[in-house]
Amino acid sequence: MKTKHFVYLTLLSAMAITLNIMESILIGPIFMSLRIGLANIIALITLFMLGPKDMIIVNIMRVFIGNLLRGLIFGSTFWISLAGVTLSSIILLICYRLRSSIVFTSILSSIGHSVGQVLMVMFIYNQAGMAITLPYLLIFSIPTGILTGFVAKAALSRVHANLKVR
Amino acid sequence: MKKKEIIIVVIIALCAIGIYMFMKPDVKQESAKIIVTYNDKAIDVIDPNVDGIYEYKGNYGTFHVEVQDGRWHAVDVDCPTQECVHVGWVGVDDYLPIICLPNGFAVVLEDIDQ
Repeated sequence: MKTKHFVYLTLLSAMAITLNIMESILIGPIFMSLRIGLANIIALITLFMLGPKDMIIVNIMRVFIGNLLRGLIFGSTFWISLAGVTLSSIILLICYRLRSSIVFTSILSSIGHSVGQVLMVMFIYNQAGMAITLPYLLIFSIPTGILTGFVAKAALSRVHANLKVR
Repeated sequence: MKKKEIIIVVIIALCAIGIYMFMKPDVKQESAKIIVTYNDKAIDVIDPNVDGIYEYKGNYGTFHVEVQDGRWHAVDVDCPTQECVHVGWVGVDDYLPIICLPNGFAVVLEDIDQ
């Protein structure tokens, strides 16, 4: 059982890292620095499949290994990415506790990711003016959150029936 | 999604629009200036009404700002992410800062009359 759990965790981590790198190389930002957040699909799947602890592990792995493979580890991009993932993970945990739906959880997590990133940019570069981008990012985070939420929901409905799926 | 959740999402969207309207400064085209900052220090002031291409040396490489017809954008930038280039053309009405994190540049709009 423990081995099976580790295998799931490893596979999900690998998928999150791959999607993270693929998105940054092949798709890029859709508006300003806003991305679809394909790796968030895996975070959602992990949360509803394996639980909160494993979701945090997958998210940390995706930030550290993803940035390491792109040669951006401990650079400004890394810290911004870490801030986004931290806030989005906190929101995911709160929504999970409140038993929110997958799509709603995804929307709030997407918003949290954008807000976390902007706050870190404001902190590192002392650019209070970056706050003006927050409304843009909030509005654009809603459709990206809906998209990732529906993909995660569709994927979760296809996984094994005895796994925790809401 | 539950009805309550849809309402929350709509409220967030409306709040975002409200914040945008509230935060957007009233900058006039005639008195608008583009401030280029490098590592949080203003290094240049550009008139958006004068067309031209401006070059700066950053932490990673060169950074260019092109001004044309009252609008400006980052172009030909040496950096791995190219996120500032993806922002595209911005003008006085957009009030969008262009930020190049690897090079340490920020291109922001200011109104000299205010």
